[in-house]
Amino acid sequence: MNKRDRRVAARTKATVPAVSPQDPPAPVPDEPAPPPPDEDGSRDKPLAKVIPMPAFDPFAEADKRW
Amino acid sequence: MTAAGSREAPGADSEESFRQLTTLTGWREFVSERPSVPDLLPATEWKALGDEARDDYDEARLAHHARLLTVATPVMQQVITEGRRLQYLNRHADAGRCGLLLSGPARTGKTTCLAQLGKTIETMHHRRHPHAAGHIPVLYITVPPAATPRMIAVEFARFLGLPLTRRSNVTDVLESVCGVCLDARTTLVCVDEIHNVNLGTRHGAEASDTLKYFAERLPVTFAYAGIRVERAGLLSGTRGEQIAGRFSMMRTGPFGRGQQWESLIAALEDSLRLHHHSDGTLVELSSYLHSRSGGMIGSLLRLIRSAAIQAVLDGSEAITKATPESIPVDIASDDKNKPR
Repeated sequence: MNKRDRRVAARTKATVPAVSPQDPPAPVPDEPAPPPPDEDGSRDKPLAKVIPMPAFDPFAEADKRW
Repeated sequence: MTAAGSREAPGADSEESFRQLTTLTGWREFVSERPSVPDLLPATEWKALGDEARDDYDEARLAHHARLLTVATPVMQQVITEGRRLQYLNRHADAGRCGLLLSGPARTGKTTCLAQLGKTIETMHHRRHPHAAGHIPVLYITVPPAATPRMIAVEFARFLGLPLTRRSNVTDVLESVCGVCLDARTTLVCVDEIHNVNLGTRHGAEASDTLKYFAERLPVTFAYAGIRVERAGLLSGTRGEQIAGRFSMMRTGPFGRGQQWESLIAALEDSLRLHHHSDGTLVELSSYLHSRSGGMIGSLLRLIRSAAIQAVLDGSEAITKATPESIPVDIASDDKNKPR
């Protein structure tokens, strides 16, 4: 093997991954699932827990000293 | 002779009769009412209902959705707090009693706040005086359009169910009303539609004087509610200055597209009793609902009540965007009706 051939062989070795053809392919991570489509495509914004306003109860209010 | 409260005699069927807060009977019914939310049956039990039982079940849910619930909005809480504070303040005042003036555009919940204030004060009164069945702690009247002094006095008499003759002049009516209110330990007078009193007209000025006369004769707190009362001229001139000097102003208005709006919608959504409704759907539609209602609580309620009733009637048992989309709201609120 002359000098040129040795150089080609070295470059080839450096670029080929060090796995044999028999090795199982590395697992490919799952792509993040796309957000589920809305029934009517009308989602205004991402959901966050919204705390509802309380119902007004005049009987409970009347029990309060203040 | 006619009984002042008899012209709205309810029909024989109490379910079909309509209730007027401006009569003692209707008011007492409203005050004693404890709204109950029907339970949603488990799916298997619901599907097994017979025709008659299903009709009853659906009727109860339709009635609930027609009302939904009264939400303790920030304005409502302020009105209740201020109203209660004024009750204490005025209890021992001999003159110059203070009042509450609730002003804002239509459909912003003024009447609801006023009525709930009255209900709270009356409930408190009955807790303090549990054996005083004859007391009438709260009066609720609405000011008729182009009100005259006599019309105002008759509204008081009509609420109390006082007999009036055609020849009763305004002084007779005033005397009767004041006598009954003093005997019945009235502490709060709610006056709705106060924008119908225009101090720029002679009749309006005299009607305002009549209210002021009641305020001086009776040891009560007055709570007024009306549409943009500053513009209606209630606070102009010498009489207006007197009102402005005694009343504290609380304003109602549309909600913005913020957290409070979403919390309001979440409260209404929580009270829905629909079998297939996905929780959170209405909150997701908050921006759309704001466009449809202009942020007005009255318009929002109308939209959600109508959509919920529709969902029961058509069997879909759920509200999606398609449901309110098919429902018209008031002309003023709906973006669909605004010129582009």
